[in-house]
This record gives sequence, C-alpha cells and structure tokens, in this order.
Amino acid sequence: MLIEEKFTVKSPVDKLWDSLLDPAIIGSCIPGCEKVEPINDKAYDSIIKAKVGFITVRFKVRTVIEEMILHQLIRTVGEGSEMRNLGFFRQKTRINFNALSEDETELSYQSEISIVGKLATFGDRILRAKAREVGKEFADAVKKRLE
Amino acid sequence: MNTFKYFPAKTVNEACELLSQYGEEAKLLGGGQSLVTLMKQDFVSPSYLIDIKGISDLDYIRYDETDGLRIGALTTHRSLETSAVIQEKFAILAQMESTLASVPVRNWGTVGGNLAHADPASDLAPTLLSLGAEVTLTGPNGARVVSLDDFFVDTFETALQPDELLTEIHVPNSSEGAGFYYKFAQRATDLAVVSVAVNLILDPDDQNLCRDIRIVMGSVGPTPLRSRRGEDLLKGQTITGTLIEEAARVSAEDAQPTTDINGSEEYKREIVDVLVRRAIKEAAARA
Repeated sequence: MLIEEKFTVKSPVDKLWDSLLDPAIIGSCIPGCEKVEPINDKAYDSIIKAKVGFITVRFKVRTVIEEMILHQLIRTVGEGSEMRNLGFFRQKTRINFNALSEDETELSYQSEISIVGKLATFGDRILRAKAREVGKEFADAVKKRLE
Repeated sequence: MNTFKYFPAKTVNEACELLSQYGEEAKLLGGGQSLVTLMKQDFVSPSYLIDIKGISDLDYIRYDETDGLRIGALTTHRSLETSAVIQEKFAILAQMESTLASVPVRNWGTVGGNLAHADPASDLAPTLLSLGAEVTLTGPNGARVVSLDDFFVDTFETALQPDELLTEIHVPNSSEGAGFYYKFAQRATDLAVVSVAVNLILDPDDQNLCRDIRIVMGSVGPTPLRSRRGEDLLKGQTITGTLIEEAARVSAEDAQPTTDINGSEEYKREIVDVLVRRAIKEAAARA
C-alpha cells in the first residue's frame, strides 16, 4: 500500500532537516513510537505501537537511510516484525524537502508498505484505513514540534 | 491463545460487577463469533472472559404497536431472520440477516455482540441505523439510552464504557417503512466490500412523496455512514429517477472508502453509487 502526504511546516529547511534526523525528535513525532535507538549514522531501531479499537499491535522496526541529498531528499528502507508474531512488514520511503521561503518548507513523503502474515489477511482493510490517520497525526506532530 | 480466567455470569448485574472489577482487562463473550476468532489469532488476549450467554433475560424479540420493536442483546441473528413479527413489520432486518455470513454463524452470533464489536463491515449496524434504532447500555450506575447515530465512535470503538454492556436494541415504530439492504461481497459468506441500507417512508396520501428516508453505507468508513445530503435531497420530495440518481451520486461522494485488496477507492465509490440507486428503487417498490 502507498501512503502519501504533503504538508507545509513554518520552519527553515535546515532546521526541519536536522530535526527529522534527530532520533529524539523524529521519535516524538511518529504516532505510537515508544523508542528510537540509533545503531549507526544510517540505521535506527524503533518500537512502534498501533492501536485500532481493542486491538493493539507492537512492531520492532529497523530503518536504514539509503540516500541523502542535503536539504532535498531522504530515502529509507525498513522492515519490522510484530512482537507477538502477528505479521511482518517492509517499507520504502522517500521524503522530499522543498524550501518555499526562508521560514517555510514543504515536506512530502511517499511510503510503499507491504505487510505479510496474519495482519495482512485479517488486518489489511483496517490498517489501510488507519494509515491515513497516522499520516495526518505525523504531520500535525511535526508542525507542533517545529512551529 | 493465551490463558484467561473464565466467569459465567448469570445476571446483568453480575456481569456489570465483573466488568467494574476487571475493566479493560476483561472481555464479554456472547456468541463468540467475533471475539473467539480474534482470540484464536492472538489479536486479542483478555485476561478475564465474562460469559454472558447464560443471561436468558437478554434473549427476546418483543413488538408493540405503540412502542415498536425491542430486541434483547443476546438474541441471535438467526432468531431475527426467522421471526414472524420482524418479517412482517421490519422486513429489511430479516432480509439483511439472510445475507450475514452463514447459517451456523447466525445461529451463534448475537445482535448485541455484533454491534458492540463495531466492525465497519457489520451488516446489522447500517440496517439498524437506517431504522433509526437506539441501544440501551447498562452499567453499575444504571441504564442509559444512546441513539445508534452516536454509538459508533471509530473502527472497533463504541460509546460503551469499560464497565457497561449493551442490553437492548429499540427500533421505534415510526421507522416502519419499507427498506432494502444491498451487500456487495466477493463471496456470499464474506464481509461486505460495500453495503447500503435504505429505509423509506412514503406519505400515506401520496405514494410518490418521500416523507422520510435514511441512507446508510457500510464498509466505506471507520463506522457506518449516513448520507445526510442524499437523504435531504429526497425528504419531502416527489421521488423521481433524476432525484434518485442525484442522491446516489452525493452518497458516493460522502463515502470514505480506502483502497484495499477488494478494490480501489474509486471502484468502491462507484459501487456505492450503484447500490444506493438500486436500494432506493427497491425500497420504493416495496413501500
């Protein structure tokens, strides 16, 4: 499934860039992120919780930065497994930075996510519906943190 | 499946007390058609299971010409489907039930469990919403009545507090009209990809005049969705083919489908358009 979002943050591009590469800040902006731990300069481990009604799932995720073009693009790949073995996912994400002015930056991202396991068979329709909400919550959290 | 402590409750009070004691760690077991499946797959692991199937007070269908229809929460889907009074007075309910999963599931599954589970793909929820139903929620401090319009909060989330259980469904007599439920699914026993319930009340003096209508869509949002714009287009108007088409078009706009393995967002909107059109025509033909 493809999740896409585009939003504008009242922040200079360099500040937004640095913030998204800071594990503490990005961790606080990702909905349900319980922990982010840098492994090296380009890899992070994290634990992300997702809750839909009475169903809660928790993923252990490894994210690796594959490409960076300063103040323009971050490209990541990642994979995660549900901690009770309910499923497994892989993701490829492109984050584009577009400086609109000195104090305003447009951030857009496209995440291609594939899920397998029980979550894919049972939870696909639910997860897809929730992905939109999570994308919006992320945008709101980034704005709140930086504006 | 994880281990859990099992409590067979014999009365509503006993179930409420257990819910108060164990809160969100506990789950209610009715017919088990939703909960047990989720437990087997490890999606839900309650520490305490309160079995309410033995509360015989909650298994009833009562009809009164003034009050309307009252259904106990532990009434099975099959009981609704085969009830003579429902077939006569609220035929849409019996017709919908015949499309819900399979007979073995309908023999076990309860109407209260179906609503409390709040699956967006429920067949029962849009149909009861089209009939303007309300539900009674009972907790340690007594009972409260909530319109079904306000009951569904989000996917798998309802207005029920952790210490409350749904005890009764009430369908007012004013909803007695003619309705039809359309379900679009890959196989007959599958969950709906898109569903539409329409209940239409015609003016007794003019059989072409729409006195009231409810258009409810299932599986195309986090909760069942009413197309109020579609309803407003038809309310108080003489029903024409053009108006039906317009109501179906705005309903498709009001739907909030997501792309998944069953189809794209655009495809599902198209299905909503077709089903709303057909359901209004079918309801009008039955009125």
